[in-house]
Amino acid sequence: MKFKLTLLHKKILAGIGLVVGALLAVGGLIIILKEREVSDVIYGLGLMMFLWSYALVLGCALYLYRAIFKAEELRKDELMKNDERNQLIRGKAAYTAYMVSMIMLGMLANIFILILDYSAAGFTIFGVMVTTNLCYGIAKRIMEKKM
Amino acid sequence: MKNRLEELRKARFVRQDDLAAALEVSRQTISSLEGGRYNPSITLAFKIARYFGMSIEEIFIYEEEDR
Repeated sequence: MKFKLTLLHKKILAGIGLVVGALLAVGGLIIILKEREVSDVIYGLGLMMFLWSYALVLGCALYLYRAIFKAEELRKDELMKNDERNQLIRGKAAYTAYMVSMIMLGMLANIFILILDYSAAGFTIFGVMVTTNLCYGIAKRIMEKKM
Repeated sequence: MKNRLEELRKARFVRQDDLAAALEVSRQTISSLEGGRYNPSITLAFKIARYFGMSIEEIFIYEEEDR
């Protein structure tokens, strides 16, 4: 049987996200305040924790607010998101954007390496292209197995 | 593929919004279906057929040139 996330499941997940976000914020803040006592790596980790907590708390709080006070609006948004035509459009648009981006990045990398002689920048762009293609390949394999 | 969606909907005095809500799709999807710009998935076709109390073949007309 296929498991489907209901609104209650999503509310619970958002609640958990909110708690985890708050914990990350407190942890991050403690590390930041103890800047002189901790190593640079730990301090960097603290900064990262604090930044991530900001996104997590904001995202989860916004979702919970909408789920509780703007339920109808959220239901309409979910409907638009799950609408089969919209899903098809998104998929095709994403694929087109992916192809166009790959071609443009490829051209840019060639210009950097062959014309401007900025090899580091050119190879970094190639790295981005390889990573994107790897992610695309993995996502495609997962989708193929699911369908 | 042609369909009789608009004709059936209007005969029952149903608005696009209401049909969309009943089928759990967007109003734009209903509009695209009626305009023949979009062919539904088999699930949506069954939902539409069930909504109108008809068979899929009575609503959607498959034409050879679609192939």
